[in-house]
Amino acid sequence: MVNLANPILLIVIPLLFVFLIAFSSAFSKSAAKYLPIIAFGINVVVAMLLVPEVLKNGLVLSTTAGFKPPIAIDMIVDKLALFLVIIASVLGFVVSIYNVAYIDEEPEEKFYALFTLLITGIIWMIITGDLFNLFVAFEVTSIAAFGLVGFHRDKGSVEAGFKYLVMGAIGGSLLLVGIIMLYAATGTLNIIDVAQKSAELTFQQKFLAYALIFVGLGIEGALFPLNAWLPDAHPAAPSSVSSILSGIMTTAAIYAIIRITNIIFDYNQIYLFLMFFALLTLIFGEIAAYYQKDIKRMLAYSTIGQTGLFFFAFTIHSTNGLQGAFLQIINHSVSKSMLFLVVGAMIVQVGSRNIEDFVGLGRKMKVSSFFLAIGMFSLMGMPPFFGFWSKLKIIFAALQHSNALMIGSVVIILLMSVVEGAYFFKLLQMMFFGKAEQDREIKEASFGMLVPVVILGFILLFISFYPTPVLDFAHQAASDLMNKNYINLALKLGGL
Amino acid sequence: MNMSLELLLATPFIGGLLTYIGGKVHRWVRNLIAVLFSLATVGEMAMYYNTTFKGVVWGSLFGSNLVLQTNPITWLFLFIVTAISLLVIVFSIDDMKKEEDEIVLDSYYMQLLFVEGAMVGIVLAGDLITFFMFWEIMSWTSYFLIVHGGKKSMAAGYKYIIMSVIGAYAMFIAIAMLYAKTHSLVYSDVALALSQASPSFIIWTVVLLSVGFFVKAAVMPLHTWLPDAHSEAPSPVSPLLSGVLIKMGAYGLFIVFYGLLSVNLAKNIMPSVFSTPILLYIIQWLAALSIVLATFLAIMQEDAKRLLAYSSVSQIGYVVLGLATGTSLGVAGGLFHALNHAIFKGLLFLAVGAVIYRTGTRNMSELGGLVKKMPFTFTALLLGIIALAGVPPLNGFVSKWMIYEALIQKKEVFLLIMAFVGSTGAFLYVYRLIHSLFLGQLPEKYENVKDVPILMQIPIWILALSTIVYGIFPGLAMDVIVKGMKLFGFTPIAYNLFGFPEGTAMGSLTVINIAAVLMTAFVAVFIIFILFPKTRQVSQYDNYASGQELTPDFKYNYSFGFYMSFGRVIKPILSMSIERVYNYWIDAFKIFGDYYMRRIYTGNLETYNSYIVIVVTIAAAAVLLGGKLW
Amino acid sequence: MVSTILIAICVPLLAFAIGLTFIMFKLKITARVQRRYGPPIIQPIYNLLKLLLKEDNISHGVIFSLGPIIALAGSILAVFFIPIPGLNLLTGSGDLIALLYIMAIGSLGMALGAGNTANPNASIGISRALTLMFGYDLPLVIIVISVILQYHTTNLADIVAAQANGHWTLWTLPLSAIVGFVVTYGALGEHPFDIITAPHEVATGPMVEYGGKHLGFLMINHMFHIYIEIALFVDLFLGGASNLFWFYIKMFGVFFIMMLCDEVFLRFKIDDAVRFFWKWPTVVALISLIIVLVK
Repeated sequence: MVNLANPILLIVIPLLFVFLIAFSSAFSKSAAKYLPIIAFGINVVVAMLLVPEVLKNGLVLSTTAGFKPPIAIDMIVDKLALFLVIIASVLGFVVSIYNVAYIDEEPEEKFYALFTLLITGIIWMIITGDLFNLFVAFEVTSIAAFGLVGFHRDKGSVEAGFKYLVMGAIGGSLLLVGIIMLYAATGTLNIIDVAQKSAELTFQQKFLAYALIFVGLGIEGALFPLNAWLPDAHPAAPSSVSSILSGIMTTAAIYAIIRITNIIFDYNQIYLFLMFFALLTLIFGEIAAYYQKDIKRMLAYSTIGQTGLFFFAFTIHSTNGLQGAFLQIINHSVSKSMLFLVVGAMIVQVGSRNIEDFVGLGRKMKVSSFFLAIGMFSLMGMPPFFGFWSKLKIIFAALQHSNALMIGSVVIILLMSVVEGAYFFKLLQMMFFGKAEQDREIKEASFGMLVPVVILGFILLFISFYPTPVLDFAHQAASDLMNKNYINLALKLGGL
Repeated sequence: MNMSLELLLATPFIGGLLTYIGGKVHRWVRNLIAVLFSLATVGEMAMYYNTTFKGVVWGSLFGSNLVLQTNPITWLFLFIVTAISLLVIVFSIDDMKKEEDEIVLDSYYMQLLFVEGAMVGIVLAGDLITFFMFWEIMSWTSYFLIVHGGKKSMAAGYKYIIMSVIGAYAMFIAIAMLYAKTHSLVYSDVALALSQASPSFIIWTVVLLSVGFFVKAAVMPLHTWLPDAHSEAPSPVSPLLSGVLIKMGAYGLFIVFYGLLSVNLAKNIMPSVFSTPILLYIIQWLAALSIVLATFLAIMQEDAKRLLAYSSVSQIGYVVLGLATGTSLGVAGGLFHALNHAIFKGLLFLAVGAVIYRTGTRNMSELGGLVKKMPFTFTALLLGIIALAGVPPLNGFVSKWMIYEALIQKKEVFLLIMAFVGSTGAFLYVYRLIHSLFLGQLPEKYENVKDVPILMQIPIWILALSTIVYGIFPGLAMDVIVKGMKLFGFTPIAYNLFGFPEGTAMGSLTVINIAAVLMTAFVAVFIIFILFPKTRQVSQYDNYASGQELTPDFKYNYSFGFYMSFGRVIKPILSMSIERVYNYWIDAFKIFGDYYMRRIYTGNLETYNSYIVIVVTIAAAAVLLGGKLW
Repeated sequence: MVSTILIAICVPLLAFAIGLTFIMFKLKITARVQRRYGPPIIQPIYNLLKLLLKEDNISHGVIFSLGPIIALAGSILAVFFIPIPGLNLLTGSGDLIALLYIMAIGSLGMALGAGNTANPNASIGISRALTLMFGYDLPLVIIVISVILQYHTTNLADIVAAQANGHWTLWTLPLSAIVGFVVTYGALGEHPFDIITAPHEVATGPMVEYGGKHLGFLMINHMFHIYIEIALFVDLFLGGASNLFWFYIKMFGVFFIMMLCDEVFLRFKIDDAVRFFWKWPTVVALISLIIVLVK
């Protein structure tokens, strides 16, 4: 009896499918379209099977190649990781469905292979328990993403892909150097082991390594000022890819930063430093989004803003703050992915990414617009949508510390929320209440593109109106991270 | 009984959803569902007359219980919300027929019921999270109602939602501060915590909460969204906005100052002026300024709905002024005026809506002489303006009288002067309204205008009769208000069904006597008038015009720039505009943001890479400096 | 019961009579100041009867006819709220503040009726009337407030009672009394505040379309108006009176001074009138108010 609740399966199965897809064109032209759906369908099932295990033990650990850690590469899924794995798998599954109707450009099977690889890499980054493995996953993800950003092969895509490539490569090498420095200092790559050993090191000894890892991951994680590739890459990529890039890839990089900060660099002063980055990211993201004329660019900048928001929540450095951050991550992932999918469907209909051309779409594409509105409301934090609960949590958590810095930060966050409201409402009212000058032939999005949107929309509505399980789960994940249960449990389960 | 508070809250929301679905079947199904559900809400609300329920827990969030509660004060606001909503929905059935896109109408009714539900939620809330949640829901649902009105309404709605969001976030900070202190946001817990908190903390939270309420209640200088939003919204929505929605701000102020904070506590922690805590005193001044300045602006308007919108700013000033007095009489007056304003402003907006429905314009100088064509609407509007101007024996008078008396008792004479001036000014603009719409010369194109259909008449007349009922029998409202205020620690004021006996205020009032004498005098004079030789009806054009022959194609009676000469007097005041200040800052922000965004996200790879280099360099420098980050 | 009805009938008649005699004297006083002999003292009665008994009365619509009726009804209502010697009437049902608003009913009725014409002069007249009202209202409320504060009551009967034995407000609050005089004078619309009717400019303004019994009723209303304004002034500042005779004498005295003023001044422009009221009378009234507040 094979134990399906094994974290390794989360990576192995999709990787298998990547090869299958790459060779599938030899047998069937259309098989490549549907294989990712099966891959991530299985992934969702595996992730769901992991839920009871993780809830029972707090952590699931599996090792590879028959060695014992720290030599062997291990996969560790605790509540937080599970949380993100579920999101990534579900998004992968849903966006794969979307791709079937959306992608009509050759070479299709290469797209699907890269796409599957992208999400695999993301999941890998999330569950790996080994620093070098983290780097590998990072590179796998990046390479897949470079290819996908340039997929359209027009001038804009290629330029964006190239920028991304250069910056991503710099990021990757900085990450590698940082990991090497940590290895030099501790003599191990296993995260649990590094955590144990680095506890003996001083702040100064670890600082440069940490800074390099931070910069490397920060480039992928869209932290200001390292995020400049993002506003070019997200709009240039096909919408389904933007959806993944925005929804989960930046989040995964931020997750890696959170994890590494938490286990090897858990100093109070560093959080102040990180908060500075978070607020700058938030401010520049939201303000830049306000000026965009290109709808996907606007959403991309909004992603930067949202990243700043949940990264800020992390830097509050309390259980409540972390809970808020996780809630915001869910909110962002589901809503923003949905928005990119909807917008992709609309761009197909309208034939333009210019916001001005979206006038009056609310009357033509009713279902799509409805879900677009829900997603935007949730991102703005309007009740009764999920974003309200997460924003409530973040602000409550921030003001638990009633010092001037926190109050100032909260004021900035809320001001930026107003800016966010300003551009989202501008778009919404144009879509729902504006009247197009000439009557255009615009139909509702095709069924295949609508289904994933509706699935995500219903997930969002479900967690909006029944948030309790998610809130509780996020709280448990947050307190695990705060109490460093990750390390303790992993040690107990033989992670070392 | 516990379940039914939640049911009361759920009814409008369920109704909204069903309305939308019903619209897919047939528009009459939709209309019927909308009316039935709003009627059901009114019915459920009526069950709670003069009852008090403390704390029905309907959920829990972040360790704080979510509570629904009711007491006579909330009942008063529930009454306003549900009754006006019902009338508005009935009025909409005919008024919104002109919208040919059925799906827009489906969502319109849904939004109407959602706004109603959100406001019911605000009023029923027994904790600040519930309150804030429904507050935000109210903001965006009402936003969608405002932008239903066409192109201009989009800009108005945009301004409205942005200002609402800013106000709501000010509130949000205060709520979060309170949460950090108590971890429970149920009103009673918050009140307990505030009673032990430091003065600066109390002042900060109260000020921040008040800012949120001021935006919604359109107290100057945060009123700038209101004139646009209320005038550009569809006719049936304006009464809901002006009559009810801005009252939520007043309700919030009441809860904060008398529910969370008590006047005694306020007096202990801050200095008092005229025996009013300084914070309340400042609020009184803001309210008084709203009264006077908005009155001036209303006098100068040319657009009927804009006139009424500015009048709303002015009238809500009375409500806030009364509420901020802190005495039983003043607060009771403020609460009563909230009810009265909902009635007469609802009436006025509906009546003007009826005129717009028939004529298609709300520009006052294009109208006139409609009294011959729409006598019922005229009569209703006449009652409305009398009530608004605060002339006895209609309802607006009684509540204003209470506010005046309360101010005299406290010797707050300067505020009182401003309140009086606003009331006299109201006389000017309401006359302007009725004159331009109904009196004078009928433009030729409106020869065939009829009075509005019965479904639009009914709401108008219900409100018109209410102005009389609450004017002559103020005791009806006082029953609720006084009983409710007792719960908040106010000494009850003496009242009877017809007015206020000696000792309540510095004088006494029996409105029914005024009404009776007026009616008798009117009948007597009328009879005497009839006894004299008969009158002969002649055409309006058959008049004293220095021998000149009058033709209907020219407008003789003035309706444009009616108070132009008065405008010259108040020109220095009119030229001030807080909105220009806001716009200046917004523009500055836009230019600044645009300038820097272009320089940061240049699209140039070299620049981008240099950012990475800079960050790495800083980190390296920090290492060299011994790991110090600052 | 019978006495109530009797009072209800007699008091308006009394007010009417007082107003009528004032109009009668007015013509005479004006003539004498101008060194003329003047019309017979009974002339206003002839004028009134002529108007009321006219056979052909013209109306421009229902509201046009109702206007004078509402105006007169409003004035009669106001009469009941002003205490006259020996009778406090309805002062218990509505105090000074209520009275200020009751007095507006008359103006509203007149404005409604006059508004329903196609005559620019009527519109201008109403616009001016309301603007002027807004103008004198500011000093008026200030002095009313200072009187209320002085006696700690808003009940007119109590205010009158407090001034017994010669403690008139005129002596205790002279500044308020002066402003009160100016305001009352402005409310009566005599020179220089006769902008509303201004026969040479707007041909009697609101009344321009009225004739016959309608105009007759408006004239009666004007008599009531004179009575109300002056009686209120007397009650507020001259201590009311112990009997009707003194009441009449005091009122006549006030009226007499006003008529003398009437001959001296020219006419204000409407915005100048408002500026005037909002300048000196307001400042003086405020000074008086502050004196009361400090005291």
